[in-house]
Amino acid sequence: MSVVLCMDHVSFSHAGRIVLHDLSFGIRAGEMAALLGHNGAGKTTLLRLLLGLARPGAGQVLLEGRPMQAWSRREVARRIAYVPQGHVPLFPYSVRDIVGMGRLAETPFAPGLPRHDRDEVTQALHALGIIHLADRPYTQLSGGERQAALLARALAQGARTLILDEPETGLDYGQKQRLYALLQKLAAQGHAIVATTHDPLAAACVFGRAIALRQGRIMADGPAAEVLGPSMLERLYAPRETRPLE
Amino acid sequence: MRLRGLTAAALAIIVLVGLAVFSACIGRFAVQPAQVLHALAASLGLVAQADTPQAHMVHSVVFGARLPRIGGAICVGAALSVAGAAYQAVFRNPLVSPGLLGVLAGAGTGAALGIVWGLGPAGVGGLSFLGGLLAVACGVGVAHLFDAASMLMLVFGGLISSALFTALLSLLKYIADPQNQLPDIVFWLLGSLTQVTPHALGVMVGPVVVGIVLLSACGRMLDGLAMGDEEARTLGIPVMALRYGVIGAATVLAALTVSVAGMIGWVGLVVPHVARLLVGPCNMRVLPTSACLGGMFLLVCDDLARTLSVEEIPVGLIADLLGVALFVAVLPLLRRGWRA
Repeated sequence: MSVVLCMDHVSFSHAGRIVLHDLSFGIRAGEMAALLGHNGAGKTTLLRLLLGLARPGAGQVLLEGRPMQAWSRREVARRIAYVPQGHVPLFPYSVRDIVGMGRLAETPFAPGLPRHDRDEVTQALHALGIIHLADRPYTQLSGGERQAALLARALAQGARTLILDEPETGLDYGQKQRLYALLQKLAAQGHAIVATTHDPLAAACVFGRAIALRQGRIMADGPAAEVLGPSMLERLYAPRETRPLE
Repeated sequence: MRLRGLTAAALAIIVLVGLAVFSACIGRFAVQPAQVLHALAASLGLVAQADTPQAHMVHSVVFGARLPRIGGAICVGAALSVAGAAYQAVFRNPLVSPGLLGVLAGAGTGAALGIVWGLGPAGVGGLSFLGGLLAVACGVGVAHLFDAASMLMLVFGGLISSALFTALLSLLKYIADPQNQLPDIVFWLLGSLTQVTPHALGVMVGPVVVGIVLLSACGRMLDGLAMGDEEARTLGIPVMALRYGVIGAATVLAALTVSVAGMIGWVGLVVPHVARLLVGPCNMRVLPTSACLGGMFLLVCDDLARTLSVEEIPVGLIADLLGVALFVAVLPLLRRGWRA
């Protein structure tokens, strides 16, 4: 399968501190990659770079072989969907409204959602099994339901690459299993999936690939079951050295 | 209660036209609704103009005095409300009013300057409009000096700009001639629709309608903005262009209202809340609904301003009082919808 999203010798600093140092890797269609590392290892920054929300200080991020900044926001939104950690807007949008936002890149100025887009939204709600929540205010959902709504929005967006930020946060055991099953199904259909996670044990079972990040560098990158072995995990999450990065 | 689509639009137009006809009837010189409708039909050439002194009187009262005012009230109320709703969406904050970035303070200062310089109504209106735009430009400029992308800096910029122009306004009041200029400034700041001429209304209608349509067309993108800047960008929304475009359009609308009718503030904060109660949080419905409700609200306020006492009461005062009452009345309902 072809590489859809690729980091080419990317470095990134913020306020004089090196956050990411010379990262290179590619994500292929149909691949499920877990992104692991201690808090502050640079996972969130890496996601922002992959989404084109931040520009690398050195190197480049390539989407389908073209530099990220050469794409417009709408073009990126058609190719990459982002599932953030569930947060709540102030205004009580219904779940259907929230999922409908996934169609914004297609019809930004339409006075209402066109029929075709409404169908996409309904399909996405069915795929996540939350059609019964469609008219409930998003502000009143539980954490797991919110996560499902944001995932449905990502599906409605129609993008072939999904980027998820700690998707299992706040989910119970059953919800996690269903989330993983859905992600595996999407990968089998050819979606590329990148997710940060704080659960290496689940990642080892579910994800095909693991990228381990420690203090802004890639420590290991390979099949999840190998990367996430006991000795590696110990080194990955060991207390941080106080010595700053060169 | 949620109203949808065409039913709501039809209902709104019927109520608005009904209110307008009713407003044309009331006042010092009472006119029957049938006479108003007949005069309207005659002016459109649908029926023959009756050639009696009574009919001429009705014609001159309705067309010369009342209809421009009614049109002015609807335009000003609609523009302020839609500007308020747009500002609330852009700043993701339901407590924001159109004055946030300094447009009202700036427009007030511009008008006061016009009065101190002894300009006519057109000059005062023009200076007021420019003052409003200048104040917002100052606020945005201050934000850009530090961190253009930060909404907090924009709010600070607006705060600084508002404070600056309020101080300038005080200075102008201080140096104004206390015999005739100062009362003019004070009365003007209270807000009034007495100055609305058919010409001023003609100048205003076009930009107001275009502004309302443009802002409403951005409604769905504004919904996306509610999820936060970065998330909105991943949904394909050009966040900075949208934010400054909407701020620009809403500012022009707000400055226009001040240049025509003086300072009428609260409408823009309160009316969008009532609109959200009626049609839900989606901005493609909230914005046009706010425009309709705002027009109706200010029309009712102006009717009260004209008829409550022998002397006319400034409409800004009535709008503020009624706005406060309305806000207190809907607050319990609002709280249920918000995250709190």
